[in-house]
Amino acid sequence: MVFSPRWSRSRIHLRPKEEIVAGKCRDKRFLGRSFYILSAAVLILLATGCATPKVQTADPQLLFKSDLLSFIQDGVTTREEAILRLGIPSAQIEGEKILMYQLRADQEGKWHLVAPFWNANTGLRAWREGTCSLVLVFGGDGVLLKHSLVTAQ
Amino acid sequence: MLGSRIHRSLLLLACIFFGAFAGCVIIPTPEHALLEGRGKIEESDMAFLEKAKTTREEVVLRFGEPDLILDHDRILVYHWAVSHGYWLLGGYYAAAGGPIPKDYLFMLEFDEEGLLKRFERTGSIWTSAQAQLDKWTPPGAERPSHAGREAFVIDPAPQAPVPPGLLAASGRPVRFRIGEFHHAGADANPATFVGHKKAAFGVIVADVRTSRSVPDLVRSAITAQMEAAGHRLVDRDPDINLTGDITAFGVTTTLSLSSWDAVGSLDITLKAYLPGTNLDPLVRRYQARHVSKTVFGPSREDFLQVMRACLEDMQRQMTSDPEFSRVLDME
Repeated sequence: MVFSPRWSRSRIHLRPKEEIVAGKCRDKRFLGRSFYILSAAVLILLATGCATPKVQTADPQLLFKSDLLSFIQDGVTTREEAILRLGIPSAQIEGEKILMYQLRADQEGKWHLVAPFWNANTGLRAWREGTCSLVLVFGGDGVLLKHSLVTAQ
Repeated sequence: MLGSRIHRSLLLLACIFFGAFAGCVIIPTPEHALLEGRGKIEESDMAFLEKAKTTREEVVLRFGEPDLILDHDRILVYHWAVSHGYWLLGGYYAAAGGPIPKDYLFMLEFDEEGLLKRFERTGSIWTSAQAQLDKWTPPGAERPSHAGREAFVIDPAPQAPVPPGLLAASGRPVRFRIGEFHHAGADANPATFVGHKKAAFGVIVADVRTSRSVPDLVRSAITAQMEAAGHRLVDRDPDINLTGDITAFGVTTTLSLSSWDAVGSLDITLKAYLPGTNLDPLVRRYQARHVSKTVFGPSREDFLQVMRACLEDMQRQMTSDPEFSRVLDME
């Protein structure tokens, strides 16, 4: 299409209407895609800032603040007492020498025992966020020798 | 193991295939976020480990419950996965994406005396956790028993006791002690295994397990019902001793042309002894069977529902049993 105004000798070439419409659509698509890519990039940048929780032993005082675990005392608590209060352990090693329990704290900081989960594909333990591991080591006489609460922070 | 490898290979193939026609972007990032496991264990955390010196006990006290225990406590494994990048796949009208996981394994082997023999921390994007583990567990070594099959873990403990009925008929609280409940099926299977979900031709598609051992669940249900009737659980000098045999406690599935149902069954023999008397124990048998009908196959909730219904049924039978009530009345 050619447009020739009377006051000018120059001839202006205009693109066909279909071409202009198609161009606008391309621009819209480009803008849309850019928006998605930019959003994804921002999200990824934000996610990269998330730290990975690290396995570490918790402050021993944490146990005494809890109703469920305040009975635990090295040299005092017996294996029988631990099992009567906490039930079947989620895992045990070296017979009944080392017993382990899984715990989670609720919003008020109160500890609850939780059942262990497995990843069906690998057979490895699957942990829900915030789950801690209580380890109790008993001596030959069945009295607690050492204990620790391992958290991920 | 195979599933994980196939999954990763398919993801890569999908990226290559769609990348040719649309847009596939892989964005590597520093390691961040936790995708699997409880938390990461860094090289610096292993500084205290010394071969032939560090004990199994020290390791567990520092790192907590292992993710896997193999070969009679000989090998302990800790696992975690972090995000090491993202993949994005975009077409004209749809897009997909997700994190690229990097699996880490921290494996420790102990000798006969429980002292550290060797340890290794490995991490890889391309090799799955299972494949890394296979290098450490030679053929013939014990493998994780749950691998390759879905597992439904249920806790069918009744949510609330049923009305006390005849259990509270005398109005006098009884001091009771809960003794051992022998589970007949526990010799062949772990104490938490209760059955399989089976598809056509008896193909096992999932294991059903309880979060606590079966005797523990039964004892808890009986205790809760007795306490709801006003009786008191004691550890010594009881008025009555309760023990029992668990002949059946499990689930199965039945498949017909129109439905695929979860079936739960329970068969318990309760024995009530009166200490200090020469009386024979009262032996009562409680049985229950419940079915949950489904079209596409029972879910974890269906198995949970049938086993919970069985335990509640047992509680109801106890509360309406005049013979058991008479023993509680000390008649």
